[in-house]
This record gives sequence, structure tokens and C-alpha cells, in this order.
Amino acid sequence: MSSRRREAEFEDFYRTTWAHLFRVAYGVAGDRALAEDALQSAYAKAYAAWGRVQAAEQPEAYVCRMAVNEVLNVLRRPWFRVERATDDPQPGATPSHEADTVERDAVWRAVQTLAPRQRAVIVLRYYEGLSEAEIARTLGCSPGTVKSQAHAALATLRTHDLAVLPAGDLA
Amino acid sequence: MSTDQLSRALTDHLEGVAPPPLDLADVRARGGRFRRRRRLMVAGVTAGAVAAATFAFFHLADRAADVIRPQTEVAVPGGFDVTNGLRAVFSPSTRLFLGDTSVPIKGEDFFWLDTDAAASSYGVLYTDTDGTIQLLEPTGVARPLAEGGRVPGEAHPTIKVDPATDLAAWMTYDGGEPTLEVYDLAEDETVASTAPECMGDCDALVIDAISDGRVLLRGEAGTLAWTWASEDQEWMPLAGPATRFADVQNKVALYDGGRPTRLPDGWRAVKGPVDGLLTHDGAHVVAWDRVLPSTLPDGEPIRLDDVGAIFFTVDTDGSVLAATLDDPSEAFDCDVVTGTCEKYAEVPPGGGDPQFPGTDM
Repeated sequence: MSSRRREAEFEDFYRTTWAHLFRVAYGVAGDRALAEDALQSAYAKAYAAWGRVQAAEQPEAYVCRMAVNEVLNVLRRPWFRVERATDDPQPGATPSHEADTVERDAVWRAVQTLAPRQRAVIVLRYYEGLSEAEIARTLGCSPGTVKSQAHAALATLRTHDLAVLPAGDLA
Repeated sequence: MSTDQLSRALTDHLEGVAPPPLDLADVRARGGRFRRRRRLMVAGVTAGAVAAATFAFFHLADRAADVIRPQTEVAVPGGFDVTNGLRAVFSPSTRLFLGDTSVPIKGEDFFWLDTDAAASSYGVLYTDTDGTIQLLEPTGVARPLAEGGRVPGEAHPTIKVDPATDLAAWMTYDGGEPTLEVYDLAEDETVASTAPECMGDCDALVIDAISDGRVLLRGEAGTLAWTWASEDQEWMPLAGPATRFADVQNKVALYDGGRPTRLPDGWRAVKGPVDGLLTHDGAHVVAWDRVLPSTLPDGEPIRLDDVGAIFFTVDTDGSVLAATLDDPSEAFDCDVVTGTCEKYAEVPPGGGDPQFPGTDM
């Protein structure tokens, strides 16, 4: 395969997956700058090894895994400070009193209070739609860890003023 | 709220997030840096005369000094065969033996050859001058496995490999902050990573072992065992600063100094030399003698052939490598069941005693 064709294929991959993967990274990070930097770094790694990445596995899953783990690595560091209040996707917008919007915002705020790995599990399951095994592979941990992180996350979400969420395993 | 409603709420919120503009140029620039780093390792550019390649590269007195980068390729033309184990041995500044071949060491070639490199059945792992974790594969070409920032001046970037699982543990640095990573060499992917507590000076962290699903991390305050697959990423204190774990294999922990205060379930502690190693089954100690004492009170020792060797290590396939102090030194591969030793290399004299990468002996 010519290098020009490879470049074109990578560019096409980047353009078609960027928006969605940014939303996943942002869901985990809760910080636009962190999400963007982690995701750009992940794409760069895929670009540097594009032939291998393209041939060996799903490139989108590869980039997602790299980006999510980069976000988690940064969030774990004690010197990292996140100004979540300033990261509203529509800053300055008039708050809506529509019930759905209020509930949606409340859910988002509650999810942002979760520990990083718990938040990652929730976003990967309930936004990205990954299975327990796929989440485990993305985060580099066991399915048992995913299960317990999800359990803890849902328990935390129930303490917020949301309607009751069921206990137990990921639905 | 059901989990379906949670999913809808989360999706509605995230789908309303406007992503930043694409920046393909930035991706290409970053990716290009990764590629150039790899190309330097492959290009085979010969260095000029420089200081002998030692771990001193990392002990820069002036932290503002530029990172020293090797000018030579880190490559073994034609690759090497690891069917009989990696059989890594070298004569400083002279010659490196890997598998069934050997290459001369010139200038800054193989600058990373020291006790902090790690032999594995997938090749030799080492930390590059810019903190990148490199794997010199049997193809003869080095490939980066993990990007890292510059290694702090006093840090000791040890890499350890668990021969039972082909998992490797290492540390990378970002702005002086360490990240401990576990990597599956067989699957070629990261298994787990964490930002460890420094237990004092971050530069003083050392990985002493990876075995049985745990990484043993030593700091100024003592040694902790990190169980990366546990529900809460468990960190278990094993010992204080007076204890040093030399090796862990098959739930046997070889230690020197004070007895460990705690061990994971099923483990047993055996006191031994601080620079000793264990055979892969944890049953015998490899130190400075051809007689390998048993780790069991009533166990029989293994007696290797008397070939005059004084340097010993455990090879990637579980055999014991032995080297003499003759001129040239003779290197042997010894079977731990029969004790039979087979000569596999003559190591020419050079800038010091023959050495096995990753072994403190």
C-alpha cells in the first residue's frame, strides 16, 4: 500500500472519528483541554504506527483506549486541578427549565463527581455502549474490577437527587 | 431513573458537546516525533568517539543540560534467535551477545547496557535517554513501547519482567512525576498503569519485582506490593526500609535485611543475598556459586558443572547462565535439572568484567 494512500486513509479515519471520540474523552475527563490533548496524543500514536494499528485491530477502539487511559493517568496525578464548573458545553446559555434538560444536567453533574475510573466505566457503558469485557480491555483491568467500579458508581449516583437507579450489575 | 434513562441523559448531554476543530497537522507533528525516534534506532548512524556508555547518562549534575542522545543505531544486524533463551551477556565497551549472535559495541552503542535493562523472551527492554521504554526485538530492531518524559537525575528506571506471564513492569516520567506501568509483551499492550505514591523522594522509587499479579515497588519508606487487577488497585505494605527484596518467583520472595512484615496469601519469604536471583520455580537461589541452594529447609541443592564460573544469572528460558573471569571469558548455559553446562560464547576482554543485562551481580 502506498504511503500516500495510507496518509489518506488515516486522514479519513481521523476526520470521521474525531467528534465522537472527543465526546468519549470529554465524558471521562470532564475537561475540554485535557480531553483534546489526550485524544490528539492518541491519534498521533495511531498515526506513528498506522500500518500496524490498521492491520492488527480496530483503529477506533485503539485510539479510544489510548485516549481514555491518558486521561485517567493525568487525572490521578495529585497536581492536576480540574475546573469543572467552567466546562459547561454551552457557557452563558439561558438555563432551561424543561424537565428533561434539568434532569440531563443533573445527571452530568452527578457523573462528574465520580472518581475518574468510575466515571470512565459509566461513560464507556452508558454512552459508548461497551460491554463489561470491552470496558475491561479498554481500561486494562479485569471484568471483576469493572463490575465493582460500576457498582460503586451507581451507588454514588443514587445519593444525588436523581430518581432511584437499580443496584447491582451494569444493565 | 433507570439505566436506560441514565444512558439517554448522558448521551443527550455529550451529543450536545461541540468538539474542538480538527488539527491534523498537530497529529502529524506529534506522530512524526514518534516515528523519528524509532528511525534513529534503525538508521545505523555511527557515533563519533564519546564517553563509555554507562548508566551515568542519567545522573546529570546539571538538570538544565540537554538530554544526551545516542548517535548509533541500537540494532543487531540480522537479528538473533532466542530458541535457547536470550543468553544475553556483554563485555563493556567491547561485544554484546544475544541469542545466537553477537555485535561489537562501539562508542555509545548499547548505552543502555546495565543492570537496569531487562532480558525477556521477547528481547531486551531498556529505558532510552528521553525516558522512552524500548524493546530490542529478535528482529534486531528496537521498538518503543511507552513514551516517557526525561528521567529525573537521581531516578533509577529499573525494568522487571515476570517470566511466568511475560508481563513487564517499568516507570515512565512526566515532569518528574512517575507512572508505573504493567505491559503484556505477548499481547503487546498495556495491562495497567498507575501514578504511585512516592513514599518519600520520587526519584528513589525502584521496581524490585513483578510476579503473581503484583509489582513490588520500593521507596524510601519501604516496599509495597501493587495488585493491579484488584478491585481497588490494592497497595499492600510488605516491609520497611531495612528490607530489600532481591527477587520473587512462583510465590517465593527472596529478601535481605529485616524479615518482611507481611506477604500476600500463599507467598513465603526466604532470606538470601541482596544480589541473588531465584530459579523460575522459586525452588533455588542463584548467586555467586555453582551450587544453587534450595529455598526449602530440606530441599536438595542443584550442582552445576564446575566450569570455573563466578558470574551467574537466570536466563529467559529458566536455565542458568554462567561466565568465567578468564581472558576471554567463557559463557555457559546450564540446565537446572541435570546441572550440565554448555559453552555458548567467548566474551572478549573489554572495559570491565563480563556482565548479564538486568543482573546486579
